[in-house]
Amino acid sequence: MEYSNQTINLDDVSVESLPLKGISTRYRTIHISLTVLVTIIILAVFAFLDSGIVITRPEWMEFLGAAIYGLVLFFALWNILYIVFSFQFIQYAVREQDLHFQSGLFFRKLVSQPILRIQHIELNRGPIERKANLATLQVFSAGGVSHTFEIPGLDYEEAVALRKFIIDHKDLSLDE
Amino acid sequence: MSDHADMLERTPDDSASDAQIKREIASDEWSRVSPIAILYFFAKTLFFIINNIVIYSLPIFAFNFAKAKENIVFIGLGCLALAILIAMGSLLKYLFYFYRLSADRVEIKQGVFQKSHLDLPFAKIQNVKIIQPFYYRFSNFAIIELDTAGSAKQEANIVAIRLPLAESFKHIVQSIIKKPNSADKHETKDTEEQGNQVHSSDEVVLNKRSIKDLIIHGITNNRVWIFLGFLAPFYNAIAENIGNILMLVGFDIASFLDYETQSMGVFLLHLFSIFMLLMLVLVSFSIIGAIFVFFDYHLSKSGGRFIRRSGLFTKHEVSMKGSRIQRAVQQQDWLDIIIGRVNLSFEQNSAGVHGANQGGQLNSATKLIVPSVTTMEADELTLDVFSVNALSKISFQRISRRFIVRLLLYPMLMIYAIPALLLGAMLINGSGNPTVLSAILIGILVLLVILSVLRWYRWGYASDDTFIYVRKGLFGRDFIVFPIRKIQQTKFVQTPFMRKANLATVKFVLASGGITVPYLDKAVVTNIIDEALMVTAKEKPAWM
Repeated sequence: MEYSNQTINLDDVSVESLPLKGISTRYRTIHISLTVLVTIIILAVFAFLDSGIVITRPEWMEFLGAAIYGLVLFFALWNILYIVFSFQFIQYAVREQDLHFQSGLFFRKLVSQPILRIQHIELNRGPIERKANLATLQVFSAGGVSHTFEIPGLDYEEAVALRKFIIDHKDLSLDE
Repeated sequence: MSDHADMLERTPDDSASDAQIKREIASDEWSRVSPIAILYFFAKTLFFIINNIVIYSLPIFAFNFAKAKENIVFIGLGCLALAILIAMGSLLKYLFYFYRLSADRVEIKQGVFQKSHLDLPFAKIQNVKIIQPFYYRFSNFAIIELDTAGSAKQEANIVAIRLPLAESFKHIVQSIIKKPNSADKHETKDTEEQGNQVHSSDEVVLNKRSIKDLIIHGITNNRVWIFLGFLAPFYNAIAENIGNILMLVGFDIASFLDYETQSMGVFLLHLFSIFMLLMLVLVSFSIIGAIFVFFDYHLSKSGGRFIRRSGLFTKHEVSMKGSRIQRAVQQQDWLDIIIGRVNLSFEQNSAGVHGANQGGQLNSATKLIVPSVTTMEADELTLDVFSVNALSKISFQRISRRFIVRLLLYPMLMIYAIPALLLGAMLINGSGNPTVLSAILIGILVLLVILSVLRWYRWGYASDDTFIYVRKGLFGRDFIVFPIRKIQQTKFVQTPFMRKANLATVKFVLASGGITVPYLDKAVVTNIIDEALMVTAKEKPAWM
């Protein structure tokens, strides 16, 4: 991955015209597959209770049964539809001096993180992410843990390159 | 745990370990920690389980004590199995834990399933601490804890390293990160000292608080209580009338709850009296508390440093470097507005300071409070810190009126739904007087609308070349001011409706926390974000 490093007129640069780019589509695939998997497991547990094969059918299953299945399916569908429609808005941008991350379908959020303010960097990969060659980049500032800047679903190579870009940035060795 | 920081003098013996650390840095190789780290991981998992699971399941054990006693063998076996499981997990964690020292940074790789790779530049390290937990005592090993301003909870620990090596590491890192103001940094380690009343000669006292001020503070900071307490002589009458009103509506709590009408009334009255009495006590407590904490209050300035000293029995001292102050907040509740008082506070970074919230909010090392000063004094003190004039006189721009609609939809509609459904059901049932029920419904609606409008009315935003000003509140109001140069992160939020109306919500993250301003003009938001990012990139302002 290449990063430009040309001199630019900072006065011209606005967050309105960011070179935003999407994350890996495998992130969406994983998200949907996981939702389906978890839903199947939850449904199976309820179906097992409902069937009354090993243990006696719990009483609340009598009158809540259909509602429970409905609710589980509703949340699953909601989750899947949400990622399908919101995925195109999960985008990030890297400029010479700052990082940006956009997300959200209804509440569209754009978080901007100046590189100067970065305290430390972490690259996180769960077992599924590793299988899919993805990684999550986390950037910590003095704004505290609840304001951690995070880009999920990055191609591993891209995440490593991005990490290197940040680490090699001269602002990172500045005081504070 | 003991902190070996600065306890050991450097001796010639240390040069060997110094050399070893330097070799590690030069080699740029990944290293393992000592296997004793397994103990660390074991203890950590165990503490986690005890803190998060065992504590909550204790009642279950207590209730089934007899049963548990019968099955003591199984429980013992279970514990043993759990211990073995944790031990295996700890072994795996150790096997997957690596660290690497380079010329300018530390890296830590860890995690069995969830892998993480942490990068910490030396320049960002605030403090290197060497900790020897009790289970390391018998050994010559220690944990190096690396504090950055961003890592209050985040772990940047090298979990098992020989003590001399740790000392060398600390020594070397500190010499690498040696900064011109390092003496200052050292000093701030003890921002909170107790019993220290030494005034140096160049100190200027900026503000003092008298007992009268403290009584005012005690009252205004619990004004709900005093307000209700003030009604005390009337609560017989009030209680009777409440009963009448409820009867008029036809809402018969007694039959509703299957109680005898009279005993219920008496019961409520008793409950109410106890409640009121409690409040009076609380107000007195509040005043006494204010005197305890703020007795003999002195705010002084020495060099660039602000020092607060106060306390009746325990003298507290909080000192804060002026340059570290992230924001100033002038807080006024409605009673404060009437009597013209302000609770002023200066906040520094909350994340990196060790023991940020020790001793409660009032004596927190991250917050410098000046209790119940007059508006003029508050403005003078704010001017001293931020060179900002009269916060209350700044012309704030209002946020969009659409915010009122937003508030009415959420959360007011949700709040309204409860009484609306309840009273609506009663109307349909025909139980209760329709006129009174409708009146109550309309009354609640009007109240919620007034609250929403008031909330909107309080919001205000302003900015100039160097500062951002925010006003917010409901009954009371807060004035917040912070320098643009101290911003850590910005956030821009828009819903489709807001996009259509050209509005946006903005959040500024400072080292002391975030500040959100809703429903501003979109152009205003993008401009201020652009400016903040530009100033940060161009001038590289320090935030500490």
